[in-house]
Amino acid sequence: MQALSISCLNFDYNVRGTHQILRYLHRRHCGGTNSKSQTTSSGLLRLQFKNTAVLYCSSGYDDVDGEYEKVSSGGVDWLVSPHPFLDAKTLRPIRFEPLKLDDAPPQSGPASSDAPPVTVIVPVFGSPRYTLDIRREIEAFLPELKAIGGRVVISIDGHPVPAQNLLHRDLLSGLDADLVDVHCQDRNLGFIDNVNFLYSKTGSGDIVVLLTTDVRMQPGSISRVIAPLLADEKIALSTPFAIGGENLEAPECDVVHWRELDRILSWDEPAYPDAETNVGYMLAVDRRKYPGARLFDDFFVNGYGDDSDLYYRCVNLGYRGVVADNCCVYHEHGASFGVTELRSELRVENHRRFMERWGQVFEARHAAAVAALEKVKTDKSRLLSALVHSCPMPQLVFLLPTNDRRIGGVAAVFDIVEGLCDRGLPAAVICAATPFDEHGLPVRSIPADDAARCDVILANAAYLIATAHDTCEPVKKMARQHGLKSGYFIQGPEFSFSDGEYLASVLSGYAGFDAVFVVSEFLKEIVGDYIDEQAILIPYGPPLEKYYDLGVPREPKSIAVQFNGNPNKGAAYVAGVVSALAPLGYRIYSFGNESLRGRRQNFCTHLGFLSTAEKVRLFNKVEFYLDASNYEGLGLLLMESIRCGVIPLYRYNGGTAHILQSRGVGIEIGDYAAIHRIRQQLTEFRDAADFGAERARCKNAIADRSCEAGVAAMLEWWNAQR
Amino acid sequence: MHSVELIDTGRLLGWVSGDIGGFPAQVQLCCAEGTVAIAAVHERVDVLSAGFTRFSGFDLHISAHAADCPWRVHLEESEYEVAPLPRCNEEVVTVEEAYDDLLSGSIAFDRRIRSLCFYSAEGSTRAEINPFPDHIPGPGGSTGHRYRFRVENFDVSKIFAVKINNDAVHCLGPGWLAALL
Repeated sequence: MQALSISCLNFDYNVRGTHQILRYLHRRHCGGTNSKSQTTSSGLLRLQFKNTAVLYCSSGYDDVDGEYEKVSSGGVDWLVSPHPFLDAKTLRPIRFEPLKLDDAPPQSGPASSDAPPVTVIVPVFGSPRYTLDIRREIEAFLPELKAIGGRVVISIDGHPVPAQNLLHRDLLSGLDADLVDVHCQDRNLGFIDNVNFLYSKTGSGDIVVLLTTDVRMQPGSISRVIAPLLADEKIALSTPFAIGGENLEAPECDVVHWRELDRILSWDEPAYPDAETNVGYMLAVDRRKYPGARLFDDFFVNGYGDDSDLYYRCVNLGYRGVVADNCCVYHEHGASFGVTELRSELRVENHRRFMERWGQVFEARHAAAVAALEKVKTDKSRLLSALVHSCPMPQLVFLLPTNDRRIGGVAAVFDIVEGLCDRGLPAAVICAATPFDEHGLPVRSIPADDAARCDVILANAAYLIATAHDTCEPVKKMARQHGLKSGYFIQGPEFSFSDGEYLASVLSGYAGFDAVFVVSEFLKEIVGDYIDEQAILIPYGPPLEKYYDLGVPREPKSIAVQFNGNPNKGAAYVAGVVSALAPLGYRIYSFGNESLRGRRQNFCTHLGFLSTAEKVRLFNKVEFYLDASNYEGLGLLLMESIRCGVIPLYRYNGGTAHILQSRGVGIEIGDYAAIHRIRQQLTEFRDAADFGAERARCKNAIADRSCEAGVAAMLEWWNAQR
Repeated sequence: MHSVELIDTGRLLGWVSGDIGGFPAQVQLCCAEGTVAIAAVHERVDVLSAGFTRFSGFDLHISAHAADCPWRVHLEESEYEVAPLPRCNEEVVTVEEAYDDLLSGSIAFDRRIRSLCFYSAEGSTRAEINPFPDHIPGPGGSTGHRYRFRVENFDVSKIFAVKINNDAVHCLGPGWLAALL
């Protein structure tokens, strides 16, 4: 008889929770058309709780012996015992295999002939990164949409720079023209009018799914989101949970990746609680019920509040807006607002407008609705966390000293892990310290002090990978303990860090790994003498289209520079450059350390810490970017600025400089004694150079560097291992 | 469709159905200086079950700095006249700062304030509001709420009325701020 086990070691046994898990597993086994779940219909299933174990078998317990208590709840019987369950024939402990919940979300069949048409509408504006992302999403869900008789309508909102519209159009070209209509607006409509334009292109009997470009989803998500509209004549609106979902944030749980979270939720029975209110990142609207000609009211200013207003208008008409609580998407936030400065002001103004219209309604209803939704989320949280150890286990586990993603090297590891998970290779990050709030992020770290979880993960992994010199020894030790292979993901010349303080431990740490990964040729050369086998080059770089050239005029004689007071980042060198260029009328925009803001305003305009959107804005404003670091394994800022069309001024200091110099692009500047020559170099460049052509050469030099290329290289290595 | 269920000094009660887009209907209150629009958003399940919108009710408290400031109320095609409850402006609004384009102070109300709008001859503006953290009950043991408010980038010289939530409107009169500016 098949005997499977689920490890629910984070939980003490209770009847309600056990019943919930068993009901879920029964649904997962019996529901859907493509289920290949191992869950037994007649075999044994053990739930191993922290304090005891539960044994369930739908065909009875004649074959089981041992000391146990029989429990019945909701028509389901199970056995409870802290002792081993015995095989009645042999009186030996039953051997259990771990249950793996690795099947995809359930797929719906073709739509019935009387089902309403489904139209997905996608407003596009802002970062081309999101346009690229939504293109991938559309390509992924088109087969599902085709099966239910659906189509997609996209509207690219007008941009002041026509080249941006062309770029978005290019990024969307080649989609199946039979199913996807793409419209380009001549002028900027703004989010609300662009959505209403799209809405006007849908039929009055359609189900419309508004999808913003910063949403990523799993297969079957559209079917799950429209399901409540088809199932209940009183439901007019539906939104899935999201990581980054604001009031519809996914249930808090131990599952570290949103895709796994969605896989578990997809098999759970939906309750469709009131959303109070629906959110516009992914919003299904039943036009057969909501009769308005326009979706959103332009009483609201360009996003925020418009979706909540729609919710209360539908409630006003006697309908409900619900959460599709068997679905979770990832919502990154800010696709339309990424390069504007007005986000917070818009929020405030629209909140006031919303409260002017609906303040009393909100006050009368909101608290009770939130409490009801929280109850649903609490149940889901318990289920998700109970099943976390049955999700596909990470094969590659990275050990980071911290989860602070403001540090470029930390963000790079999470980028790689997220990319691997997206491409189907489960990966995870264990962090020694977790000071950074990871709320709303697609992948979350596992704290190293959660020893029980770490043990389960490491027991099932293939590789444990160090990411910094102080994780080398722990990785080697833990890999030995758990019988894993070990790796080292090297992003910098760490022997030079902290003025060489860790030279000895860094150099001795290079040896003894089964695989060493480096992010640049420069690093590959310098670690080559200390490792047995050749290091594997991971051509990491900024994600494609995340940093982009708007093609707008730039401020003459302007330079951006990272300036955080760190001597290793060339603070002294920057000061020398500023002293040399200030008399010529150059304006230096520095950024980095927030505490330096305003302290060097006579010489630099210091902007403090910059978000991605703020960096894009700055790098589209200046002519040059100065990389003054003493050393860089891979200068990410330099690459980000080049992607935005900046001409790089660089010291020959490491990975990116090595790439630029070998291609003969950008402006290489000398060491400290040559600072005075920068004046002449810049003057000659500005007098003679064709900025456009040089920009193109610089971009071309780093074209093969990206997060996507890094993930692909990692996957290629992994597949070769197998 | 609408129904007026009570008209009294300083009070108007009834319902007016919203439109097919679910927008709540507006009750238009007009005085000599201008018009104030109030959304009818009190829940009326009886109205919903009669085939109209759920949030249709209104229960308006109407006051003015003087008794001789009648408000004409427009509901769909009908017009009603409501005599305001006289209240001196200082009972309602306490001014702390008044400049051409800025007004701040405090306001008292017997319920939580979710929204505060000032109306002038040239338009309206929504104020920033923050509850007094250490509010002490007012004279007579009032258990009301007091909020700080602030209005910026708005020509405050022609403010004539203030709207609190969609519950109350007070006519401040056209020359209310003139002495302070």
